[in-house]
Amino acid sequence: MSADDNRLIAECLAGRNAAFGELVSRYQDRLYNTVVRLLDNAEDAKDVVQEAFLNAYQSLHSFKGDSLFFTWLYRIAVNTAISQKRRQKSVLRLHGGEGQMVEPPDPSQSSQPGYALEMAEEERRVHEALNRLSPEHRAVLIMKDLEGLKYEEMAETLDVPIGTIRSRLHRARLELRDIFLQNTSEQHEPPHPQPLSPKGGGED
Amino acid sequence: MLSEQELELLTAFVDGDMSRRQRKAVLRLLHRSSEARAVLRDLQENVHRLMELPKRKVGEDLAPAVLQTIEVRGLKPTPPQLVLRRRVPIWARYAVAASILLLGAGLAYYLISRSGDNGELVAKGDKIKSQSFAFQELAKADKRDLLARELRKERAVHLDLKVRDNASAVQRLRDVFGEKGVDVLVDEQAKSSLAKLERKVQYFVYAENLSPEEVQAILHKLGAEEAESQWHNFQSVAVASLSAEHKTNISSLLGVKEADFFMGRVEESNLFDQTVIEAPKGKGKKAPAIQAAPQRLAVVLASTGEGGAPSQEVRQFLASRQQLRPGTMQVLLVLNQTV
Repeated sequence: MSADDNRLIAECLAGRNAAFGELVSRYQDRLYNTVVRLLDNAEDAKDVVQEAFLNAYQSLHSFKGDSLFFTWLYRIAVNTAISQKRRQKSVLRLHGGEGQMVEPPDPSQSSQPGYALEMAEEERRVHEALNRLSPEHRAVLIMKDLEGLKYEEMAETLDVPIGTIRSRLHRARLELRDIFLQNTSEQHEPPHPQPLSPKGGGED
Repeated sequence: MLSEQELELLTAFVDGDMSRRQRKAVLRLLHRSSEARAVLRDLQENVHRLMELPKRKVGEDLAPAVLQTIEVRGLKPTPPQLVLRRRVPIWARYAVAASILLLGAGLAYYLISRSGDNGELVAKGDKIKSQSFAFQELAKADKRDLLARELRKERAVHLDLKVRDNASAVQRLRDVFGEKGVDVLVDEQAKSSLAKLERKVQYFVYAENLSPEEVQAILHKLGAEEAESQWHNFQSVAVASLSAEHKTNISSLLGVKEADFFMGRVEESNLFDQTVIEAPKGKGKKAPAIQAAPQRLAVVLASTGEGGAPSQEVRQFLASRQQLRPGTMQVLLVLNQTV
């Protein structure tokens, strides 16, 4: 564990809450970046990250320091996000829908006209594809490709054996490939001819 | 067509997770199979797509918000509970299990027989057609009217609120009830559960002597705030008649007999016998002074309430209870955290 994290946790346990604020500031963006990709909803992601920090705060005594503080925090947040994603998939959403990644792309990325739009479109395509995966498959892809976690770290985060991570990653990669191939073929397919409607229209 | 084993080799190759022998096998496969090369290209492109996703930032306000929530909810790092493990003889375990089964069966029989008694009582007032409203829609006139109509049908209503965060919702309800002159007391057990952020706990906010207009105004106020809020803590509200189950639950949590609890069950004539204060006829006569309404209290209870001696807040609430005034009702809000 980072000595600095260690110091901040000790200060926090001694009653200096501002120290916890420093820990939040230190890790909030990294945590959020993963959770927002898992949930595909900026507001939900913010709520989950906040709850993860609050849970971590209350459980600080149980943090033994045998893993990195971030890994511990990451585990809380990712598992909360996966549970939420599972619930979202099983419940018909009555108000609003998924896919509310409404944040505009970072304008500093490029000043080329159209670049930001292209990036946003590509991001939307990737998220649409990810959304069709199960929460577990989505999580391993994000942890591996976006966060660059090792198998051991992923296994610790999700509390599953490394073999399970390997197999999930294998399945997830093939599924994602199928989804993109399907999307590409749909885009290139000529439009279906409109069926000729009987005179007078309608199918009554 | 590539075999499952060959596909496994290709995905492992993408992740760099393979032995030297496996690596050689992949290279041989790629050399001889154009399909394998195409699959590998697709897999690598997809990795690249994910890696290229822009980094998202949460904003500067998260740390202050976390610290503020810690302060508002009075959170503290909780020391882990010490668990004493003792060797329990196997016969004792079986005895305990058998006792629990017997107790469970007895309790189930008791609850079923009690719910049968209440069914008749509830059926009489079961007039509201259960309706659900999104809070953000409550600003719309048609929804507002529909809600008002439903609320006026009953003298004991149950409002099922879906919220993102119970603790903030309770705090907000306290404020909004307060604006209507109703002080909301939070029972000790509920305070403790709220502080522990126990997600699965339901919270009951129980109030009496509220007019349908006041309830509507409370919900409308919350809805108007939600329409402007970024967070949308209050999501939806379902309105229904107070069910027998809720009456049993709430009277049990308050530690009162159900018959005492259901004050709306008093004679119809009493309930609708409004004492209208009319202006005196004739000149020179003064109107009688209108007495100030007694202090109204509501109480927040947690579904984890364990019975036993009632808390100070519950005692205070019970002591403040008044006969239902004409045109008012009993209101039970049930908070369900969705996140």
